[in-house]
Amino acid sequence: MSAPRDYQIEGIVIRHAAIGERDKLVTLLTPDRGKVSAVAKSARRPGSSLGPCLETLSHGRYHCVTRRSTDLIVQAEALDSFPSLMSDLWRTSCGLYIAELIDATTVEGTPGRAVFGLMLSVLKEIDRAGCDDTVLRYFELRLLEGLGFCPSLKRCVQCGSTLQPVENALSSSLGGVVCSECINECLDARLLSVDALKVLRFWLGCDLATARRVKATEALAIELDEQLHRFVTHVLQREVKSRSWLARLRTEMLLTSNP
Amino acid sequence: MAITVEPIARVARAFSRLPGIGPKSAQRLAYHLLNSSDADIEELADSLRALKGSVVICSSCFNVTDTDPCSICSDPQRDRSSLCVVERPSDIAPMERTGRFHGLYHVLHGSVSPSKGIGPDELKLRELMPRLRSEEVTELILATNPTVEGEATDMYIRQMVAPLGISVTKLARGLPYGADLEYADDMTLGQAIELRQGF
Repeated sequence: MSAPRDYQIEGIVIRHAAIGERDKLVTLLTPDRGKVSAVAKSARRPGSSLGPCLETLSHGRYHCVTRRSTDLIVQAEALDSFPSLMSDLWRTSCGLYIAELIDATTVEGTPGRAVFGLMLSVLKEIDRAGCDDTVLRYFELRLLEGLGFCPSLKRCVQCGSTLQPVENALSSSLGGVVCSECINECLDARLLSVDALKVLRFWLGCDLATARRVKATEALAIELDEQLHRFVTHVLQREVKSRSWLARLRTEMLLTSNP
Repeated sequence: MAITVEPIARVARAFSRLPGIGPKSAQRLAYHLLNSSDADIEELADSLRALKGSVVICSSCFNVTDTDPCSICSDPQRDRSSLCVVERPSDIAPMERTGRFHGLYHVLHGSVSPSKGIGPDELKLRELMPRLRSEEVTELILATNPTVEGEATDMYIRQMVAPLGISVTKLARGLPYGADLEYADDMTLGQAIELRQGF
């Protein structure tokens, strides 16, 4: 039996591009089909009922029709427009960083219910309570977990010994923590403090609201940022462009109310 | 069917490189030109040749123009207290068609798009500040596209110019003329309610 010609999916827009005079090529993150690309005809026309539901970070339900070359979005219903997120520069920028990271790490056609759930919960949290370092780092760590790249934090990835509460190191090439005895054998390992290891382990076992209770010192926040950034960059094999925009916003002190 | 006559194929290939023109449309245009008069072909060729040579960027507003400063910037009748920020040179024509705006423009040549690596340095944003400081601008109108990137650009500009104490406004968001309320999305309808006017 052939696949149905039309289908309905819930999704979050992670990217879109203008095509033709008035059309849009939209990339959605969906729970059942993973990343889906579809064309929305006349979506850039003022007054199009599709347009507002197809902006980046829009969460909606989409009615699609399968075509030979590409699918078409023929109807859309907004489920959440994240008004607080969209009206604050810092929050919007964090949302765009998340969308870019998701886009860079997921592939079309591979179901990803966990990654979709993570993205939606993080966007809702940013909309509700703003975005700080904890939210971004928690998202990065749980995204790595959802994609199967979670750093191993229980045992030394080099010798297999149980990690002691001393300064160890994190190696992105080996995929986890190396113990103090093996640090010198791993060239890309960077020192990982006891507190940073504890926080990473804690975040892997809790939801975002609980994770936000961690009050990291500035030094610990920087350490977590650098370690996870190295890990994400190793997985992607490239930089996330939005990251430099976030750094710029911080430097220019252009934040309105967050973090 | 592939075009076997090389001059026609060459024209079709050139057309197909244009945005929104597929191979079929390009082929149709090429055959249309083949049947056009010599005068029409000459005019088209001349105008294309002159396009790159005579069009420059206005040093004041960064609009595309054939004179520097452009006709709007050099018009003494324009209201110099009002400056409208648009994303693209092509956004000026619809604004002018309304006949409601008589001030000057500032073209950004894009919008902030972090995932594409486009930030303020890639836009004509830094050039806006000297204009606001030196010219007698009292109102800055943000007329970027109602997209996430457009909104981010607006918010960035608003915070950038805040120390200058200039009034910053943006184009109203709401229901488009001729639209059905039933099909309006939450965001648009919400903004239309918030920004409702006395009647």
